[in-house]
Amino acid sequence: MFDVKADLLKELKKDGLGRPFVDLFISTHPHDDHCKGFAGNFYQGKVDDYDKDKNKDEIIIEELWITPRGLNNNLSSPAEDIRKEAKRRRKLYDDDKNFFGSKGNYLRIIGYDKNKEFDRRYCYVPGILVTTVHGSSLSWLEIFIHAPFKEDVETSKKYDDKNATSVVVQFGFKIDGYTGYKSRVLMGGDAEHEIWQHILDNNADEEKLKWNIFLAPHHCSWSFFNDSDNKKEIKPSADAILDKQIDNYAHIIASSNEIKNDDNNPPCYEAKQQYIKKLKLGSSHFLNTATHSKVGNIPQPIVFKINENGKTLKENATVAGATSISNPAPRAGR
Amino acid sequence: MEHIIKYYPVGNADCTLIKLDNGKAIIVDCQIWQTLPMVMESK
Amino acid sequence: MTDYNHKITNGSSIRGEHLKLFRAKAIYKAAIVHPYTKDVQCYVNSKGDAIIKMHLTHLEIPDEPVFDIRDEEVIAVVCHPEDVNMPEVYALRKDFPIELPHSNAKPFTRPISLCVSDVAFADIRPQFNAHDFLNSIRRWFSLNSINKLHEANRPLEVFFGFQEICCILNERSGGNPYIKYSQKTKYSSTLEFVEKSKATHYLIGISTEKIHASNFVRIPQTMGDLKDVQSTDQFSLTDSLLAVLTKSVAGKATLPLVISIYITQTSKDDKKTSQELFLIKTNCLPKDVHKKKILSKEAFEKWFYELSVEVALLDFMTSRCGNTINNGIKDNFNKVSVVGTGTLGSAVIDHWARQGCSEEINLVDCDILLPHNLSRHTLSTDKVMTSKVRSIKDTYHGILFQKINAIEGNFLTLNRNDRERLFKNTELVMDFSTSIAVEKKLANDEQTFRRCTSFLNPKGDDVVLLIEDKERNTRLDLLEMDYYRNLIVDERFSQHLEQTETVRTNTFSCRSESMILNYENVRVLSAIISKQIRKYYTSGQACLNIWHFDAENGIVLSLPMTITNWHHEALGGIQIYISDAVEKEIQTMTATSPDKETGGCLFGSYDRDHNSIYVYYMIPAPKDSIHSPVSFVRGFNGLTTEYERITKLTYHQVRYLGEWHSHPNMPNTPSVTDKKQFEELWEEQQSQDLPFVQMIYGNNGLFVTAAM
Repeated sequence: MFDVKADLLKELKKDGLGRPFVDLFISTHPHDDHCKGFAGNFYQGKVDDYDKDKNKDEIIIEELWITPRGLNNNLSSPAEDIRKEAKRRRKLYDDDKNFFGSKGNYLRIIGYDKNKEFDRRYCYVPGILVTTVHGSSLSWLEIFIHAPFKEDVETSKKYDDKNATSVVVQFGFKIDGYTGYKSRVLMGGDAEHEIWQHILDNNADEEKLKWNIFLAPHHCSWSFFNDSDNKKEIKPSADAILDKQIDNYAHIIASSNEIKNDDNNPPCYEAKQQYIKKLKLGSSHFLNTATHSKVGNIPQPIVFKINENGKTLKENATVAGATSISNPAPRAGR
Repeated sequence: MEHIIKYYPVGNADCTLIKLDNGKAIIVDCQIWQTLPMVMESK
Repeated sequence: MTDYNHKITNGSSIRGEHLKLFRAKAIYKAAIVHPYTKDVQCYVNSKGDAIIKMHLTHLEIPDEPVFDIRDEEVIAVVCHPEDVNMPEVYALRKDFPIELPHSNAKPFTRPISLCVSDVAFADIRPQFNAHDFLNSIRRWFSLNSINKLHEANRPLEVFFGFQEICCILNERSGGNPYIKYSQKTKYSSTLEFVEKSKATHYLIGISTEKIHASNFVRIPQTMGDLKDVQSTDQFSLTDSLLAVLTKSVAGKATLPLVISIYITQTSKDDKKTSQELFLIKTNCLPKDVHKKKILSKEAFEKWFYELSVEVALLDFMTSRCGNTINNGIKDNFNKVSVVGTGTLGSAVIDHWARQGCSEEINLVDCDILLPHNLSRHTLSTDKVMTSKVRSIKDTYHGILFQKINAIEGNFLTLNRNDRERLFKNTELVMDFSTSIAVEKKLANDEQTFRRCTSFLNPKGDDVVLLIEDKERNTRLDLLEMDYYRNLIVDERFSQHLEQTETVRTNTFSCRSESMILNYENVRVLSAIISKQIRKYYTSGQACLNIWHFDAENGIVLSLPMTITNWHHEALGGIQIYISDAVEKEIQTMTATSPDKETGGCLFGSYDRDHNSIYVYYMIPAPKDSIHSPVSFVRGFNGLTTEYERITKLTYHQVRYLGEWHSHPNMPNTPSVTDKKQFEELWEEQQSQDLPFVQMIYGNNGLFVTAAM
């Protein structure tokens, strides 16, 4: 399996005291497959209490985004860890009216508190365009928040459908010297077709739903297209979202196991077929994290560069012999 | 100027890293295992 | 001329496993396991070539590439049975862009032949790896898509493997059309703008608007082929050419015609630059064109378009700036002067000229190149018995914008004009003359240029560098004296001035060239000096350093020498310099003998031309000296041996100069006895043609008196 933690430590910067940190951590919703490994890998607590040895290699989160559902009960253990950290931060705001965030303590709850909004200091609602994180401008990235909505939050409570409260965002990347976005990435955690319809209904500016890269929701599950028991019909929301691909070179990513023609869902084979049908360049632009690129048997991340030439899918160029050096030699001798 | 977005291969799960040219980083969801299971597939 | 050559990649279908050519089979095997290839098909043609076609997918191509390359491309790899060259690679797409860097010119427009490697196949073949080969094709696509395949500052290479390259040697003045064209080898030539009487050809320049490669994807072979090359506006190249021939003075030319194709580009700030690209040679004489013009239009066109042409790629003579770029040199000068163009001098000049270190280099030397110099001089053998400076100037002639001025003369006796040419606005004077007189003259010159002197030791395994600091606090002559002091007091330098027996010696200077001097040493040490001079110039600091080359083991050692401060006194017309190392020794000795007088001998050098005396070494009172509270008689036990030792170490540069003694607890005023001693010793010294220095160290410091 790919060593995510090692790669994150390689990629992330270290602060003045040599501690790795990330500017923003978005927890789209409190499902295990989006939260696992939070404790022990991400630092929880006051930054001043960070112990060089005990907390070695734990990543400090400058600003944490969480959904209202993520703050409630009936959560699995990793989701509880995130909730605990979010609650610690929220208390800082609640205890002091004049607290607007500090190092390692910024919080944003994405969504509504039942019928009202949370404290403006630590919430974002759909329709907001985020350009600063932990008090500092991102400069080259804008994040537009599409979901979760009030109603969906309520519905989800009824059926405890955590997927319904997924954060859905559009990342707009800018490049120095160019106006507008050079690339747009649409990510919606596990949001299902009803949520997407809701987003379409509420969306005022079409530009905010266009994408160059789309992460197939819920690990390429059928739920984006319709309910799992209805594989015959494709909801208009799916077509509408997929039609928002920009130009001919858009990519769709399925962050899932290998998609085989079986009954699994997620990932769903029929969903993959549909995505491929809608993509202008077809199957070559549908990428599956489990199979896209391997070194030996270990799948490698799917990486895009975004620069003045737009987006480029990076290739993991292999050197001859890489397969043999990344796999154990077949046993020799007796 | 160059930004990167990285989708980690974590099975039926999500973990994405965005790194901007100015060094700012964003992680969307996480999926980190304590010990990495070795997947020995037959070729 | 075909637009799309299908034949080149056609053949009869064959299963990959049945391919006979070893190279093709390896490529086929690599293709079928590569994660990003599909539809691999194999063919063989009647010549025995193996052709492997495949789709390359998931190429690292951006959404907005600079050229229209896609993330999936179809290619064909053609392997020839002889296996003497790299397998050919073609991009098969019908509308694949034609103007890309590193595409090979062919007699057809498409498919596009990719130049995948610039390394000769013979160098790759031993470790040729099919997998890496496929990846290098992928790299060609991905780097070219962002226009990064050809590095910006890399010199232009030959993409027309079998075509001719012609180098333009000089700049065209005005619109001079007279050129001398010389074929050098089968595939190379030079073109020089000359005066009419020396010309071999007549040049006409035709401008074109489009970027080069697209015009010459297909190599033209006749004048008719040039019809497809666009000139300016709507005219083809041939139209423009005919217009020039019929409407201008060019039509009267009686020399064969050469056409240079250039493009004009207007930069953002409206500056127009033109760049010559290609040469088209013909045997056509402009006046012949006129003669044929009387024929009917069809007849004329038939004749004209069938004229054969040859295309030559143009290259340009290197310039001084080009040299700095090619060598990665950042520390450049406007003007420097060099005294002495012998073994070391010529080598350093060679480094500076080839690296474009200075826009202008002035050389002064009166020497001629003698036969024995050829063993280690940069000049070529045909320059024997010529003036060194003139020949050196000729050696680098042709490098554009590199000024080298040769002043034939003796630096010490230059006339005013030559002195001015040498020194005016010069930033640095480098002395490689091996003449101490030159160095002393430079040291005493009041002008503000930076100066240095450098020389090899007699054995040729050490190079010494003396550079003044920017403020001239540490002058060359003082550095020279420190050099001698170091030779005496530092054991590391005990063999520095040793000579081998067969060397012809000249006792006047330790630096004269000896007979046995290894050229390998010269190259190593001169390269070091060439760079070190620039380094110290930039830092502004003084330098007194020896670099020692251990040729046997290929090791160079840097041996810095101690630079001392100097106490200067002007006594009448005499300048006397005392190294503070000596003063400190005197102070220490006086302090350890608080009750009795003590003293010692003074050694150093002198310069009658500039009335200077330098004291830099002291031998304390020998053990047979007599010390009393009011007198001191200096003994002589061991003095001769020591004097011989230090003379040998400095190759006779150090001399006995005089005496010092202390006045413990008293001022340093000379007593009657002291004055008498001065007179006596001075007379003795004078009879040996030596100056004399007397110093007294009292409780009020050092008293110095001297006579020359």
